[in-house]
Parts: sequence; structure tokens; C-alpha cells
Amino acid sequence: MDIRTELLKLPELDSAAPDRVWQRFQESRRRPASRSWSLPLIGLATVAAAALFVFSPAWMADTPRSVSFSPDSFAGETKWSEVVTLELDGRGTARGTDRDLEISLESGTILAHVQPNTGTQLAVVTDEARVQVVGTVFSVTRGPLGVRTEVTRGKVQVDCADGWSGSVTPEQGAHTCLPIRPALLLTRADALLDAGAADEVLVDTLDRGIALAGPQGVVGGELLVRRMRAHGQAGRVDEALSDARLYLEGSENTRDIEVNRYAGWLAMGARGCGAAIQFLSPLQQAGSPEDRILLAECVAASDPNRAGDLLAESLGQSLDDTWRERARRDLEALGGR
Amino acid sequence: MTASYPEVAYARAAMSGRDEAVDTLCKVWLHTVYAWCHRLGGPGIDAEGAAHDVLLVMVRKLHTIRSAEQFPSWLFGTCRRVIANRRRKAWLKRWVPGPIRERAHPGHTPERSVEARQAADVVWNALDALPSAQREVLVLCELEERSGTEAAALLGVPLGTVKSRLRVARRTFREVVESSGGASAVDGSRAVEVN
Repeated sequence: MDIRTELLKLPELDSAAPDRVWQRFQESRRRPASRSWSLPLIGLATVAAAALFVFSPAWMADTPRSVSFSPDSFAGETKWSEVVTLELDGRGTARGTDRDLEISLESGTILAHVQPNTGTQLAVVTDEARVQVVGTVFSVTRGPLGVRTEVTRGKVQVDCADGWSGSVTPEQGAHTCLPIRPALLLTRADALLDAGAADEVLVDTLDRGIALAGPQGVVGGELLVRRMRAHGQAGRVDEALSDARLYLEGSENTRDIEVNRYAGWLAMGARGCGAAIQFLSPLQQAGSPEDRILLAECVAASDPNRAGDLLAESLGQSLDDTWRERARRDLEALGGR
Repeated sequence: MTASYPEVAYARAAMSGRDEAVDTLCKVWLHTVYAWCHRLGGPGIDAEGAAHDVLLVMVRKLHTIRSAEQFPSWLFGTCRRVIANRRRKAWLKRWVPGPIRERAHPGHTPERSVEARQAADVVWNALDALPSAQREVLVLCELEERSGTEAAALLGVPLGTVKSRLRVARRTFREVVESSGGASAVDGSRAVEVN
């Protein structure tokens, strides 16, 4: 057994992946990073503050206080007051008094237990949603899909920045407020793809992102590429080709080859050469031998010399048996050049 | 063709602290880092996410490396730690439903895709059956066709250790693949010289 031959059965590396990694990396770098020297201090301060509010004396009940929490510095269950208990697994800041508390959630999950009929006001706030409660047990999670509110007992009022507003109860099930920024909608789209979500949910997210970002720009382009693939896989060929054209008209394209190939092959299979040639032509230089064979078949009638050159060039490169045979047949049909 | 890591000159320039040199270093290593994350992490972890994390660590910790010559080995160690971390998280999230995303391959029929996936599963399982130290030498020496010396430098171990790990790794890998009926032909081992 040839071990290398076996290892080569692993899936090929996705050639577009490094571009996506680079894009994510650049976005992460733009976010302000916490200074490493300050982490121990922040951790110490947070633990001290947490201990302070766990053991807070009665006179502090109406004194506003503020506590930052993060997975590195503070996580787990904590008693904010006699009537509010929080389970923290994320990053954010809690501010307020015993009975009037606002939590700004940057990421992760908060599970809040609020004793009913105590007049306690508690709100969890993110860019996408404000969840307001009086007397209940509920959780708010800010993750890649958006801000998810789930109620275990009682009822909460949710106002989403995406336009949705209403109450959430245990019977209704969880509600997710959609992200309102294109980059976060892109993150949601990838999370939906990972989870194998329904096509209409995915396309709705991509539509929203493209409407916000526009087809130009890096994020808009990435959203367009995903929508092109979603349309293509659902058999909506015209929509997929339209997205491909929009993407290719953009100025910050890094995935031209990938888009031309996807659209070219899709158009070739569903609409024939008339629709495919505009996508296949740019692949004459940069594409694969298979791309050139398809292009040759499309130009064979109008420009047999060019088709012959393309086929001869492809035959000189690495091809599997099926494609090699196809190229030979095409070349013979041109008159055995 | 032997895969070789980019020259340490990029690392030396980046360690001087210039932003554009750091960017260049990241770009130069991006494909290698992604390949390591994909091949060493396996299908259970998000290789793109892991590569992204490695780049972030690289930018933030670059100043802690003592010499540019140590950079490739340091980077490989960082990949190893990020992958281990991701594996732990993947283990915790294993009950989350949903298939791993597949990317469309325009040249594959559904039947061919299934066959390719089954063959890949056998190889992933065999790699997964190896201790990480053996998986690393197998990927570096067999799949990436690096020399033993190069692998030893990346792993920070003596050449003899690489050779012995590789010998055991080949044997275990072969046993697992053959026991699962995955090998296309049992025709004796192909010798890859480790120097």
C-alpha cells in the first residue's frame, strides 16, 4: 500500500479558503485588542468587583455599580442581588442597582433569573436587540446567528433592530434578532451553511446583507458569492448567474476565477454555450484545463483555430481520463488538428 | 516536489516591527498554516477558523520569538496548540446538529463525490487513530513530502526521533487503512527516504 496515495485521498485544500481566512483576519485585526499586560489587572478588578456584589451589604442596594465580565476573567453563576441571579458565559458589562439592572452583552450567553413580583427591571442590550423583563427566567445569547432570546418562565419584551418587536414566552419558543451589519450577516450566513439551514433562511440573510452592503466592497462581494452558490444549488440558474455578473462588476474582487468557473459550469449545464461563454472566456489563461475544454467547445463553431489551440493546450496538461477522451473527441471533430 | 516553508527572511523583517512586513509574513505563511490546520485538525474542526486564530496569535506574539530561525518551529507549535484547543471545543460541541459544510465541486458527479468522501473518511479515521506526534510526521513527511531534517526542525525534535515516529506511524496507518478495507491495493510499502 502506498501511504502517500492513500493520504492523497483526503479532500483537496479549498483554494478559496486562504482568501476567506485573510478577510476574517483583517476584520479581527481592525477590532481593538485588549493589552496583554492589562488582562491580569482587569481579571483581578473583575473578580474583586464580583466578590463585592456577591457579598454586598444592604446599604448598596440602591447604589449603582458596574461589573465587566468575560470568559477569561469571570464566568459562572453570580447573585447580583436578592432578586436577580445571573449565569454569565460571555463578555459584557452589567450596570445598575439591585432592582434596576442593564446588561450590555458583547458576545456569549446570559441566563437571568429574576424573582417575579418584586418590581425588578432588567434589560439585556446588544446592537441588535433590547430584551426587557419583569420577573422571569430567560437567556440571551449573542452568537453568529444573531441575538437569541429564550424564555424558561414568564414573558419578556424583545425589540429587535431588524424591525421585529414582540413578546417571547416559553410556549412561543426562542426568537432570534438578526444582525444589522453586513459583516455580521456574513457571519450568520456562514453559521447557517455550517448548520445546513434551509435555503430560504440562508437566502433571506444574504439578501439582507447585500441590501445593506451593496454589491461593491469586500463584504458585499462575499455575500454575493454565497448567494450565487445558494441559488445555483437550488436550481435558480438565472438568479445565480445574475449574482455572478454583479460580483464580477465589482472593483474589489478576489474570487473572479472561482465565480467565473462556478457560473460558467452552471450556465453550460443549464443554458448552454450562449450563457456560459461570458464566464468561460476570462478563464482562458487563468482557468483549469477543464475550463479550457468547455471554452473550446463553445467557440468551436465560430473560431475553430482558437478551439484547437485550447484543446491542444489542455491535452498537454494534467487531465483525468474522461476529460482527456472528451478533449480528443473534440479535437477530432475539428478535423484532427 | 518537496514542500518547503518560506524563508525566515520574512520573519526577520516582521520581527523588526514594521506593519507591512508583518502583513507580508502572514500572507506568505497563510497557505501553509491553512494546510496544516486542515490536515492535522481533520474534518471535525473548522480549519479556516483555526488558521485565523493562528494568524492572530502570530501577530500578537511575534515579539516573543527569540530568533527568526525559530519562527517556523514556533509557528508549527502554535498551530498545534490552536488545533488542540479547537478539538477540545469541538468535543464539547459534538451534540450540536448540522452537517459539515461541503463546497460544490463542479467536476464531480454525486456518485463520485460519495466515493471520494468514503475514501477520505477511511484516511481521516486512520490519521485520527494515530497519536498527534505520529500524525504530524506522517503529514509533514508523506503528504507534504518534507525532508526528515525539515520536519525535525519544525517539530523541534532530533532527526532520529522523526525517523522512528515515521516508522511507527506508517505501520499503524497501514494497519488501520487495511483493516477498514480502504487501501486500493496492497502492494508493499513505498519507501520515502528520510534524510
